[in-house]
Amino acid sequence: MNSKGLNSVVQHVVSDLLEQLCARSECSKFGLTPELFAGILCEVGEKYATVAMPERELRAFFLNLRVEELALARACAAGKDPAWEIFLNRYREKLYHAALRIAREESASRELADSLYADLYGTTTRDGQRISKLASYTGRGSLEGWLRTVLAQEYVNRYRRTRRLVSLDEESEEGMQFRAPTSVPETPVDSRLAASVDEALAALSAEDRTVLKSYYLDGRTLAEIARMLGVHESTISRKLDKLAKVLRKQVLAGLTRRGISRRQAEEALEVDVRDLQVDIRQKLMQESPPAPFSEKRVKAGGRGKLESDEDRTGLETRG
Amino acid sequence: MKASPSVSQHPDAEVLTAFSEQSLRQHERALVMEHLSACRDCREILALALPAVEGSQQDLALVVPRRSWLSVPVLRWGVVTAGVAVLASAGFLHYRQGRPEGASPALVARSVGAKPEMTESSRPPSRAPKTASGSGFDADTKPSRQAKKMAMAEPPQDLPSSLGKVKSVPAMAKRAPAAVSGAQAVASVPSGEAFVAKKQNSFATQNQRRDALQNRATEQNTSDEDDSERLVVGKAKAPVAPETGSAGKVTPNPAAPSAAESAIAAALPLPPTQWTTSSAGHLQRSFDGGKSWQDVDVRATPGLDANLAVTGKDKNELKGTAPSYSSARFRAVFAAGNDVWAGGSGGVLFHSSDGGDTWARVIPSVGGVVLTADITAVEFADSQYGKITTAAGEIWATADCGQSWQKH
Repeated sequence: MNSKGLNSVVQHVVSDLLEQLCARSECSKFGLTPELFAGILCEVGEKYATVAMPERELRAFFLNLRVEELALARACAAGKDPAWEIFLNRYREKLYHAALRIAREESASRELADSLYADLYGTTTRDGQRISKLASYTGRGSLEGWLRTVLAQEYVNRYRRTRRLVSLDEESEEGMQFRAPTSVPETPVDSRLAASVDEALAALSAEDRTVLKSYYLDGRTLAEIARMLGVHESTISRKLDKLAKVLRKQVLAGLTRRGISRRQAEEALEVDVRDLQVDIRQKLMQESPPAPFSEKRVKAGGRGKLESDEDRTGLETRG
Repeated sequence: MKASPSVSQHPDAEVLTAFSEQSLRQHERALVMEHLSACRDCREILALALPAVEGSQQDLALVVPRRSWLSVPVLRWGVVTAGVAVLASAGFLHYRQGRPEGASPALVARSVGAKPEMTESSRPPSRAPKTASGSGFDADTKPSRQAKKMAMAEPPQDLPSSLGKVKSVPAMAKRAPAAVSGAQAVASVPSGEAFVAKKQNSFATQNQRRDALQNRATEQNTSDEDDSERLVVGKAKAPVAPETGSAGKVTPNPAAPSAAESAIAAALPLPPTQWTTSSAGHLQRSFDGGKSWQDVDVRATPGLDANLAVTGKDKNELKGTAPSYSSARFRAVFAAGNDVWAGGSGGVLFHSSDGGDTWARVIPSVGGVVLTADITAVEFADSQYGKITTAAGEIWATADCGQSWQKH
């Protein structure tokens, strides 16, 4: 099935479900006709559907969309006044509170929220048409959650821009603020130990690495990590305990495989536990492509670019 | 999924939201997780975008930042300790006052003798003649326990005299009724008349505020009373005060009890007028601390067009058309004292210097180019200097109350 075929499948499913989705979304309340809404649904479907996607899955996809919020957002993007009224009533206060939680400072949060409002309203134009950020909402998550995420992205982008503007003098005055704490180990770490740690970390699952990094590198609390991943706090606590044990075991096994006696390996871990931790930090720090989120689409061959960015980041942090 | 995140790309805001809300499919979730394990920024975004936890300490701290200093245990305990210390010293003084050994017997006798009518009621009748004569204390250097009790039971007004201080009983007696009638004193501020008159001047532009409050306080008042009548009613409470002495100016009014209430309403500090813009883009104000809001129609101002303040340029010279205000949607309002600025769609900007009763339209322009973008924020540092922010990200600043503008 080519893309034309895919589009016709999407259109077929949309027309099949349109009545149901229109009723659920109450799109007419926001000033959207069923035809307009059908067009929006097709656009969303074509964005996410793949050729290999069975029709059953596609139907489930549409039925799981938050169609009411999708209709509201798209009606706002289309400049429908009744929709804006409902949007502001529903999200205005929430948006300011979310901005305050993110920026943690009154004026910065107001600035953050105001800039998002400008984006939502659509300050840029194309062919005389305002382009509202709400037009990119597709109803896969809640609109409120999406607004919070967009705020957070904007905040992180701004922070990164500010960070880039910090001069070298300021950076040195700020001390370690912008440096990873990696310049500590004066004592050379045994290459075999480093290799074992690498190996052990590489063997971990993505979720395990995320938990480890969130806890040890990002300084998140157990509760925060649990909420990020949608699990209970005690699950994260148990996972961290287990990971520490597993890592130790695997590093020891790696060391013995590399010709170090069990006793020497134990000693290495006991004596140089701080160095080992620093080493783990180094290994975990291989990350963070610095592209801002508005320019996030990495084109073909982007992976290579990404890797070079990572290398650069790594060099900077190590330097 | 075409637009599903790959490991190398930052996931969309939407995909991150869906991840956080557990609504991604298994394989999509695995891809996002893989990305998160390598991208600190996305982890940070995910954490920052978490919804607020109901009643969490963090949120409380954000909501009520001013109370944070009280949360310092040292200060809290300090307040308790200070309270205990005050109570202890008061108790100690009281105890000393009750001890005949602490003061000279003669003094105690004199203090008791000076106010027999006050101590009489608290004493057993059989002891009264003895204490009144004072011989019991003079003859007996060790007063009985009953006498001690009596002295302790005396009202605090005795304290100064029993300690040999200069404050006389009549003075205290004079003070006592004043204190007792404290509630009346609130209603009848000594300079009540002048106070109301002063209010009349200072709040002349806020008649509606006072009306609202007075109406609340005096529901029985007839609705045809005009403002001046109400102020006369306000004066009528002056003779209630024993110390005002302005009985000659009393205007008799049958509605005197409710008049007193209205005077209270007028004398109490009024909540500051609050301003906001409704979601429909109307300008609104509240006189009762935000409980009720009323729309403010800037067009109702007589002679608005005459007041049109096209800043320093002839209207014809301006490039671009000044936007119509008839369908303006207000998006930002700023108020400081009686100065109120309201801006909204199409660069519409209004200024009131009398608390919102009359309005003048201000059309910011630079080099003949009129501001037509939506105004999203208005902020004034004082009555002269301020800036407005537009939806297009421009900042327009004025240093002369909107007469001339600079664009940044």
